[in-house]
Amino acid sequence: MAKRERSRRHFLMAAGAAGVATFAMPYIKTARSAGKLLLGTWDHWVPGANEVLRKVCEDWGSANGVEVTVDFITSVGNKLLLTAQAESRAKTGHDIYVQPLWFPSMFRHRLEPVDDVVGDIIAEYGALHPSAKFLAYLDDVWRAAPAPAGSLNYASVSRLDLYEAHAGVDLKTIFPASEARDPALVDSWTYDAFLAAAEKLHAAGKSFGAPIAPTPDGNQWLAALFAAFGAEVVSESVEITVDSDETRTVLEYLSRLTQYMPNSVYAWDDASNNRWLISGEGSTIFNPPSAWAVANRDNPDVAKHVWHHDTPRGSKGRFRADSPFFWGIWDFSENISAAKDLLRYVARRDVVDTLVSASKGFDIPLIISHYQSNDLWAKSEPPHGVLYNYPIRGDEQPVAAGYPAPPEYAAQIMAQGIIPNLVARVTQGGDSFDDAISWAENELEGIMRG
Amino acid sequence: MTNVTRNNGALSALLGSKSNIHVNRRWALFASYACLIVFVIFFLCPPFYMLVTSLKTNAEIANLATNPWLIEQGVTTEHYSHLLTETAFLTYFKNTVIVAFFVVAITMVVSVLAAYALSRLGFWGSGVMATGVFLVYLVPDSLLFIPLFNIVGGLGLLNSYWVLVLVYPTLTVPFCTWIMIGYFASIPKELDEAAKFLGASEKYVDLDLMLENSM
Amino acid sequence: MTVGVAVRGLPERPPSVRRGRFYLWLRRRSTIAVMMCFPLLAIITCLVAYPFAYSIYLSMLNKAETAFVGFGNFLFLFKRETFWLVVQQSILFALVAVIFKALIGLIAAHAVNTIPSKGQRKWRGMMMVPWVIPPALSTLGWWWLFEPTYSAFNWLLAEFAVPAVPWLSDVFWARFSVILVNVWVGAPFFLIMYLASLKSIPEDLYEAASIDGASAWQKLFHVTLPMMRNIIAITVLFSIIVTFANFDIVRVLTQGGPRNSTHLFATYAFRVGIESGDIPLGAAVSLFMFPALAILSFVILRNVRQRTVNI
Repeated sequence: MAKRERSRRHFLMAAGAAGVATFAMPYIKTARSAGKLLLGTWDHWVPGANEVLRKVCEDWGSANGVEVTVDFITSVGNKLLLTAQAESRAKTGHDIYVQPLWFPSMFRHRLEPVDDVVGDIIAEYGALHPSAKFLAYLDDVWRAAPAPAGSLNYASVSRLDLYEAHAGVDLKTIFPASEARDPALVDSWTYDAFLAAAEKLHAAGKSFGAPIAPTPDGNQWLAALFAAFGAEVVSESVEITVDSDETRTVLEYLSRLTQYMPNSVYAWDDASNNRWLISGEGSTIFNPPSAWAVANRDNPDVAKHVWHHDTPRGSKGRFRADSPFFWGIWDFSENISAAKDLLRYVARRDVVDTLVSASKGFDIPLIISHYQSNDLWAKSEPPHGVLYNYPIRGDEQPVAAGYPAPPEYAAQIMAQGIIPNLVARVTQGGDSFDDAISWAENELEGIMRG
Repeated sequence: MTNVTRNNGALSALLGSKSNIHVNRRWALFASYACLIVFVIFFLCPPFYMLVTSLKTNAEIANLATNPWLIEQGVTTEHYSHLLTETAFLTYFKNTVIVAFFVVAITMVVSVLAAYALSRLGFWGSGVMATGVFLVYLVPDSLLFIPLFNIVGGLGLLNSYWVLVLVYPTLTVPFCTWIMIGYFASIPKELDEAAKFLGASEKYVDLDLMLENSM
Repeated sequence: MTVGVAVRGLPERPPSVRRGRFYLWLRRRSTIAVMMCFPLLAIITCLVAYPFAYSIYLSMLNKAETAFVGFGNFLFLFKRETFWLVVQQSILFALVAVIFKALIGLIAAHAVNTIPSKGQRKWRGMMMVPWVIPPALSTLGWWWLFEPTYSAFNWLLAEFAVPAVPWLSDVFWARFSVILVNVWVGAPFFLIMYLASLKSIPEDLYEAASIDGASAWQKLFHVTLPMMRNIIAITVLFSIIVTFANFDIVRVLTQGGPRNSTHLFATYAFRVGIESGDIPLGAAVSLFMFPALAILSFVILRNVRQRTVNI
C-alpha cells in the first residue's frame, strides 16, 4: 500500500444497515495523549484468559504511571481484520493492536518499527520461533513484537476412545506424552492411514470434521494438507502454480476424504468444529486446545478422552498450520515510548507463564526459551498428557495459508479463501479438476493485479 | 338482502349446499384465524426460541439429546445476570437510548420544517426537491458508508456516539420528510385560510395547526 | 404531492431604505421556505450527495489508490464469473423475496381485516414482532436455528423421521434460508401498509360489486387490488430496493457462501473491498446497485404519478 499525504483521509466501506451497525461497526477509540495507552487485542476462545491479560496490563500500567485500557475484539466475522483496516485507514484508534499471522505484512506501512524492542527481547531471552521472523521481519524491519497471548497452531485433536473402538488405531501409543516416540509408528501415520480411519469412524457415525469454508480454520487445515502433498497455489517467486499434478493429487484425496465428513462443513465457521467435538458427535478436528478447554466445562465425558497430536504425513513431509500472534504499534500512536515499554514487559517469562496458564496451554510463546521452560503442556489433564503434543515436538514444519507465496499475496489468498473455495467446487459442486483449477487461476490473477 | 344471497352463487358453489351468508362469514372467519395462526407461529418462532435458549443452562444447550424448544433441565437466569453484571451491556443500552433520543429529535425537527416548506410554502424548485427527497431515500446505505467514514473522521468524531447521531439522520430524515409531505399535503388548505381569516399569524398556522393535524 | 403556492411579491422600495428591504426579504414566504429546507439540504448534500460522488471517484482508482484507472475496475469486474453470479443472485433474491413478502402481507392483511376489530390489534401486534426486533439480532437467532450441529429445525424434522436439511451448507438451501429470513423480517411492513390501505377502501364499493353479482374472488381482483395499486407499487419498490441492498442478513447467515452462492452486491463488495483490501474495487461493486435501482424507481414512480393524476 502506497503512502498517503496526511491531509488525505482514507475510509473504509463498513457496509451495513442501521440495524447491523452495532454488529459490524469497527471498534475504534482515539488514542489519547501520553500517559494513556489503548490496547486492542484478540478476544480469547478460552474462557477466563481475557481477564488475566487485562489484569497483567493494568497492573503494569499502575506500576509505571500509565493508564492502560484493554479492548478485546473477536475474530469471528473478521471483526479483528475489519477493525485493523478501519484504524489504519483512519489513522486513529488504539495504540497497540494485535497483528496475527499476515497482519504485519498487510499493515506494514502503518506499523511503527520495533527493531529496538525485538532486539532487546532476543538479547535477553534468546531466539524467536522461525515463523515470527518470516511474518514480522519485513523489508529488514521488525514491524511487530511477539504477542504474549494468542499464538496457536492447528494440531489434530482426536477422541482416543473412538479411534480405538472403531478405527483400531491407538493414537496414544503413536504420539505418547513423552519423548519416547517410535519412529516407525510415527511414520506410519500418513494421510492414507488417516483416510482409512476416517472411513471407519464415519461408518460408526462419529466423523472427522473440518470446515471447507473461507474462514481462518478452513484455510489453515487445508493449507497444511496442500503443503503435505506439495501443492502450491502461488510459488515463492510469485507465479501461479495451482495447475499442477500435486494439486490434482490432493483434490483427488479430498474427494475421497469429504465422503467421510458431514455435509455441513461447507457452512462451518471457526467455532463449528469446536461444537462438533464438544457435542460428542466428532472424532477428530484440527484445532488449538480451545475445544478441549470448553469441553472440560460443558461436557467432561468428552474432554477426558481428547488427545492432541501431530498431523498426518504426506508425500512431502509433515506440515502443521500455525498462526503466530504479534502486537504492533500504529505509527499514529501518541504514546509510542510507553507502548514499547509494554511490549518489552509482556515478553518477560513470568508474564508469559501466567498467560499460558490462563489460556490452559492454548498460547504457545514465540520466544523459544519461554516455551521450552514451561512444563504446562506436559502436565495438563484430564487426560494426563492431553496437551503434550500440542506444541510441535516432532518433525512438523509450520505453515500458514498461502504458503509459500510472499506475505502480501498469501494474505490475499487467505482473505479470499481461494483454497477452501477451490476444494468446495470439486467436492461439493462436482466441478471437474480442470474447471475448478482454472477458476482458481482466474481468482489468483485477480489477486495479483495491482 | 335477497339479491346478495342469490348472487353469492359462485361462492356457494365453492362451499357446497348452503348459500347462507352466515356460513360464508363463518368460513371466512375460520380461514382467517387459520391463516393468522400459521403466520403467528412463523413470525414468533425465532424470538420464542431465543427466549427459551436464554433461560437454559449451558450444559443443556450443549446436549444434543434435549428438546431445543422446551426447557427440560431447569430454568436459569445466569445468562441474564452475567449480561447485566459482567459485560458492558448497560453502557451499550444507555448509549442506545441517548443516540435514539437525539436522532429522533433531530429527525423530527428537520423533517417537519422541510416537509411544511415543501408542501405548503411553494417556491421555485420545491416540486423537484420533494421528488429529490424521495429519490435520496432510495440510495442504499451500503453505498454511502465508505466516504461517510472519511467525513466523520475528518470531523474528529470517530470516538464517540455523536458519530451515530450525525449519521443516522441520513437514513431517517429523507423517509420522514417524504411521509410528512404526504400528511401535510392531505390537510385541507381551507383550514389554513380559515385560521388566517380569524387573525392568526403565519407562525401560528405553521407550528400549531400543522402539528396538531399530523399528530 | 406538492402544491405550489404563488409567491406574494412585495412592492419595490427605494434603495435608501436598505435595512427595511432586507428585513422584508427575510419575511418573504419563499425565503422562509428555503430557510426551513436548509437543514434537510445540508444533510442531503453533506451526507448523501458528497459521499456518493466520492464513492464514484474512488471506484476509478487503482488498488493501491495511487493512480486513476477510469473504468478499469468495472471492466475487471465484468470479466469475473463471481460478479455475474452476484448480479444474478441479487435480482433473484430481490424478486422472489418481494413476491413472497407481498403475498404474505396481503393474505395476512385480509385475514386481520376479516376478524372482528376488537381482536385485530393483538394479532397485528404479534405479527409486528419481526419488524420490531433489530435484524442483526433476529438473524443471529435464525442462524442458531439453522446451525448444522444444534439446529432446532433439524431436531423437529428428526422427530418426524425426516433427514436433516443442510440449511446453510447446500447451495439451494442456503439461498432458501436467506430468502426465508428476509421474508420473515420484511413481511410485517407489507402487512401494516396493506392493512391501512384495506381499511381505507370504502364499503360501498364492495356493496356495489355484490349487487352486480361479484363473487369473493372477483371482488378481490376488481375492487380491492385496483384500489390498492398505488400502495402495492410503492411498497414493492421500497422492498426491492431494500432487499437488493441487503447486507446484514446474508453476512450473518452465510457470509456469502457456500461457494459464493448467496453473495449480494453489498456483501460481495465487503468481501472484495474490506476483507481483501481493494477498496476501489469494492466501491465499484457497490456502485453497480445504483443504476438498477434508479431505473426501477423512475419506472414505478412515473406509474404511480400517472395513476394519481387519473384518480
